[in-house]
Amino acid sequence: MQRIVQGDRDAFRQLYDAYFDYAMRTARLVIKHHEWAKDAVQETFLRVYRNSWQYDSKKPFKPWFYCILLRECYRVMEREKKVVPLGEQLERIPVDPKLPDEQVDIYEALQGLEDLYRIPLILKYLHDYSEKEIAEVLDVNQNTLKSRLFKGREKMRQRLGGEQYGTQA
Amino acid sequence: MERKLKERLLEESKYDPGDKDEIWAKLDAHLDHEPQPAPPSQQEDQPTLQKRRAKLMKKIKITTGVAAAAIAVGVFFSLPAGTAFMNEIQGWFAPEKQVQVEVEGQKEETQQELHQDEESRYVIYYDVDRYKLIEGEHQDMITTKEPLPDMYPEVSLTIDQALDVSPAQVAAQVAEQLQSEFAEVSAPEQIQEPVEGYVVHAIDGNEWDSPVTRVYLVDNGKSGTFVLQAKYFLEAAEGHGARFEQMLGEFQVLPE
Repeated sequence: MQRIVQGDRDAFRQLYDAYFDYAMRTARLVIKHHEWAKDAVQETFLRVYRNSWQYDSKKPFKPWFYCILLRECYRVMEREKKVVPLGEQLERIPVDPKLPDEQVDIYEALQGLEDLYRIPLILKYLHDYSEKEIAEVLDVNQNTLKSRLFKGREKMRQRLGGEQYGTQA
Repeated sequence: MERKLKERLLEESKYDPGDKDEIWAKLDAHLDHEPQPAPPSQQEDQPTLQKRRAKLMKKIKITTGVAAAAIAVGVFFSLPAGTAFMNEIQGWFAPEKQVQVEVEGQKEETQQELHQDEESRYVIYYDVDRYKLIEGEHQDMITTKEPLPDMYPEVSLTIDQALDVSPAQVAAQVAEQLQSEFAEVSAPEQIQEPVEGYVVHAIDGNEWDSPVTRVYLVDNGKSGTFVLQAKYFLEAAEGHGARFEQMLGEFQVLPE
């Protein structure tokens, strides 16, 4: 990061190579729209470059990076929500998680959850992040995070007709 | 089943292999016009050799200043109270400092920057990694560096003054005003920490995003009151709420 602060483009490219896949996959799942996800990823890396001087090298890089990424995902979602036609917005409203449905697959059940539960679950299962890491990224207490993961799984279970996912811990 | 979910996530998050080069090409084009990454205060001055030297000198001056202050503190305690020198030193505040903050049970080091408002006569240190300070015509505001998405209620700490009204009177007025906006409003309470004065606490609901406010009233030393209002939401009480509380502990009214 020190080299990036000094404007070293090669060092920035190395960071891009190392984190692009994680960033793109996360944005794809969080935003659920390919082109918007690309916008969020591009803006994330631009912000990482511009704000590299703010990064505290004593702290782990991943939570810092993913905070920026998730913020950009939210920003893009908010921006697009304002311009998406109402009909299209209605189609994107999450399915009712209270009604068990055999046709709903595990991915749809996850994406039908509110962001509060959906995003921690994406971080956990896409990247195998520890609860401590996810709590740092989302800037929440670890117990709050545990509770969200548990409730998220519970809601998915209800949506899928009672099938149990994961453990409470 | 967890494995199945992971497999589905990997499958659904697939992207076109060309995306990586496409985004890099756009980034690369942007970077051609980007200045070297630097704090906002340095962005206007892109470093020519001369300017770099000037910056280096500034750093040296700050470092020297901090060292000098350390020596001065030693001298300060050896001087009789009330000397002009002591008054001068009392008015000196380090431009930045490391402060340990306890957030959600965990201690962390934060880099805090001084904001000294000579006109309103107050000083506060704020966490520059997370917040920015916006100076307004009537009030100053510390808020998150990046705006929060619309789904979150406001997160800010505003610093305002009520002239010629005592903290107790303002506290009673604030408690009455908040009644119309919040479901629960506490009676004004006299406090010693994080500031000496009064506090009125209000909350509007029990959901994760229920708005919360804490209004602190501090004597401004001129028969008036500093009004410091922290706004956040229930789930951020241990995060932003705790950080604001710590910053308020650094608030000081400057003598005339």
